[in-house]
Amino acid sequence: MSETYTIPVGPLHPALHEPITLKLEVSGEKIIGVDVFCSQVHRGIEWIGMNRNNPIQSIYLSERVCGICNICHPLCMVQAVEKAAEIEVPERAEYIRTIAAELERIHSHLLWAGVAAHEIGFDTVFHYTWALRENVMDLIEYLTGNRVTKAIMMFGGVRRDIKENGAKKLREGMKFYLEKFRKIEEIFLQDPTIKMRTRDVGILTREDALKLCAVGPTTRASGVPKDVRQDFPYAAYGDYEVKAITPDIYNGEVHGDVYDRIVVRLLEVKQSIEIINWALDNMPSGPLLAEKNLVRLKMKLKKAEGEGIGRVEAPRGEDIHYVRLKAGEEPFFSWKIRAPTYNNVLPWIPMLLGGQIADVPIVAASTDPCMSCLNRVTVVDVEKKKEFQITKEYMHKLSVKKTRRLMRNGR
Amino acid sequence: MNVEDIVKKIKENFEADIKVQRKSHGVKKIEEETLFVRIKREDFKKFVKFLFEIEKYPHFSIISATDFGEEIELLYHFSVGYGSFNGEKMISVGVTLPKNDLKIETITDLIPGALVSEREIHEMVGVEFIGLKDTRHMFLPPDWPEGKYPWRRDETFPSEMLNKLYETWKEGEKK
Repeated sequence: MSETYTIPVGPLHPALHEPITLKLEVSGEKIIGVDVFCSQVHRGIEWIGMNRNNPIQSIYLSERVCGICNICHPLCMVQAVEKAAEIEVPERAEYIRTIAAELERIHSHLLWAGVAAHEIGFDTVFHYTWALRENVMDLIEYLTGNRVTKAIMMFGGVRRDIKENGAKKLREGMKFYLEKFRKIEEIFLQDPTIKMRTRDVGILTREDALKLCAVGPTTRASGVPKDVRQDFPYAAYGDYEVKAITPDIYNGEVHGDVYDRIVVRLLEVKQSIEIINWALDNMPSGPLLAEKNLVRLKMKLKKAEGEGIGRVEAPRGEDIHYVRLKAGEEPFFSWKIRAPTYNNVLPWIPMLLGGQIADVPIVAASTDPCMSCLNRVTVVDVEKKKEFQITKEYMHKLSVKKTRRLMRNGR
Repeated sequence: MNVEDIVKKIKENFEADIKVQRKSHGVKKIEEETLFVRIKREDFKKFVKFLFEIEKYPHFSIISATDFGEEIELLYHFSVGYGSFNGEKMISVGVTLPKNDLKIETITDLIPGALVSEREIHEMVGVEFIGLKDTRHMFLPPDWPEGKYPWRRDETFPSEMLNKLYETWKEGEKK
């Protein structure tokens, strides 16, 4: 068939139930052109930080950039402000920040693994992974008081300590995950059907990953050892000396496909467990905050003048915040948030080109996109021109069908 | 390449205002280094090409914009030297553009990954990127009024839309 069609997918996202529009040009089942549109959940977070909030309020606002990365955004932002206002952070606080960030990575990667299993039709695996994830959520709740918005970051430190009981619970939790890790590995990496659905699907070459500035597990799966924790260490990562995980560590080869992205994420869960155990063993004692008095801190920030960049390796990749402070003005003079998905949207295009419609959900999901991170300015808009709408359910059905077909033929 | 060498090289080739920011972390006090380089608009493209001399593919993070009233500063955040422990250096390149002439050359021909960021700055601040082919809205809706820029601090800011988001669009009605 020589005729091609353009199929809009979205505004509701086929993979992660979040709003983004993909326009796919297809010839038969084959995808020959891809275009991406954002703009459905812009919330104006940077504008509020630059015009309404004082800096301390902005910490809690930045937590709400994303429901999953709610440690890395405030961490990134406080680091930027600490550099701009020259605030020194106590060592113990840096270790607690590291533990909080690694707990977030474990829960985010498990969440992603469940979603990926769901996208290819393995709902039992999805429920199993999410049930495992509950343990780390309980740990987070025990340590910070909240499952989701943890409110633990503060300029010049953290707000809560990890005491003996917390450390004990953390160690038990990490032991639990180390025991379960073998099973997770078996389910995801040795299952023949998952391998068939993900091997050599949605390939991102090393060259493309570098040119399109992809970040996080997406770029590491293509064999690029970019990891902010390794390249540009912050908090306690410099003491630990993190090494970026690329798929060749596991099986000696790099394909840059969806399977490799699963490998990288699962190995990172194991790495996070090791980092947390190490941080608990080596945690220095000392104060948690550079300045306990919030009024004094606020006055200091109001007088400060300068600029700073915060960089954090979020579960999805490099997160970067730029903050500029102007003396005499309470809100930030300038604040720019760049969440990892922002850089991982363009790599979708080479990944999807040449693929099939049934592969769109798993390929899109393989970058672990987070739309609320990507969109931050408020705009209300609904695109009206959709005559050939493919719904998320239909795509999901196609994806499940393909898995079943492969399972039948594979046997 | 260490920071001193980079600073030396930049000074040899460009008329630039350079600031090095250092911050140490953890018990071992490992230092991270960030360079802020302010250059003239004419030198900008040459500077980006210069980054390619340091590394084959310099990592581009984002463009941030600051409105100073009469002029706008664009700060391009790059980093070079990934892949080794504490080997990466941030290089942020600032270019100041007067408001009556908001034009700068695109870098998408060198770094295709900058496309989203340039489209964002184009729609949010109103900077024209010379040579940028795709200037459609990325984050704002396609029917966004022309000449309104949400990230500016002047009369082009769409203040009439503020706090009235529920009024900007209603079911079954074209604005």
